[in-house]
Amino acid sequence: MRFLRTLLLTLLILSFLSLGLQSGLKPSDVHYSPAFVSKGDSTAIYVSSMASVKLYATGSGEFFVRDVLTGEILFRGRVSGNGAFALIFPHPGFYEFSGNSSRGITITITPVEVGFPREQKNAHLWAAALFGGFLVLTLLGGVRK
Amino acid sequence: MREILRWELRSPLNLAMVSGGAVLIGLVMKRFYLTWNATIRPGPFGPDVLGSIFRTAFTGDVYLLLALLVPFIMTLAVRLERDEGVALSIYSLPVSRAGVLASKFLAVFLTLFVFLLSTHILIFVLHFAATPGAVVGVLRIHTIPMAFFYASVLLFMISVAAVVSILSPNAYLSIFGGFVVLYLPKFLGAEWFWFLKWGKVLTDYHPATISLTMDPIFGMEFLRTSLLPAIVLAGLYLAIGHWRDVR
Repeated sequence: MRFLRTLLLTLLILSFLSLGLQSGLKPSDVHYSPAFVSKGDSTAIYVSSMASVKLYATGSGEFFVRDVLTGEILFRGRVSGNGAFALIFPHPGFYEFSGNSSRGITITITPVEVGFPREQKNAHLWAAALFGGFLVLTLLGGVRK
Repeated sequence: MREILRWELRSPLNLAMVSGGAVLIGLVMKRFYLTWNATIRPGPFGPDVLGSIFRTAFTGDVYLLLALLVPFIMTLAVRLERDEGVALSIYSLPVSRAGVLASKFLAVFLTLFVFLLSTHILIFVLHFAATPGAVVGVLRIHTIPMAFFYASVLLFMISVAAVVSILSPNAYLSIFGGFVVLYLPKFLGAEWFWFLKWGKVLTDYHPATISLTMDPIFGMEFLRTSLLPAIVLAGLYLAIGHWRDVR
């Protein structure tokens, strides 16, 4: 019983810490690798939170950004020479950059604002409520068991 | 033996230590999820690409924390009571000496395994909670290999710490000795000894491998650097513990 209680308390603390750390995330904390796309060559980039970013593309042709986790196409852009675009990554995960440029496009990604998706925040609060609730249940009727 | 196991699992000091350790490890993992920076090529990509980050959350920093935590807990279980003289009454119980030592070993293993695996899964699930479909897919494929990974790695680290504890003349030496031995490959730059091999089985999997047994975690290379030495060292720990006095 003491084992279970300690486990629940640990998971409760972890849920709050995860919430706190993610709320305190700043754009200067994250760094995204550049993507290179060309015909038949794509790159998946890890994005650690919901993020509003600026894309700077160099090259010529068309490129696409796809949310790998849901399969949804987020963005289609056409660039000839240089171009800057604004885009929002809706949640943490991987995003695929692909295109049909014959000579290739290099895309650098700069974070403008990073945030906390609502579903994820709710999941943190639900998890904390769940662990807290179970902890309270185990505490009913006294601690010495 | 079951009574001793139950008693050890209820030990407040051990639970407090493991809980604190699990929170620190959870923080390290969360920082990893927040600041990791990676590109994966070439495609095509599917939601299972998330498996790579789930597996690599066992980083060098997590290993460092474990290398501190495991000798500490093993010392609390095996060595401290000998310093304090309580061991004399514990080992005079009608249980064989090996039985007492084995239940202490098992209790440390069970506590660490449950706490660490649930921390690893919880931090991952919470971080990617906005895409529940992908999370369920990754957990369905990778939970069993990761559970096996944690079990092997912890058995290895605990058995190293156990041998050091049972050989040590006092608790201080036991803690620092255990840490130094577990962290020695890193100090010496000889990480290939076991740590790099562990990292390799975590990253060197192919998403296309559908069968569970094709995962490198179940491969001989990994077993040779974790589970097999753990069995030998655990036997050594029991043998030494059976042979030496309890003071």
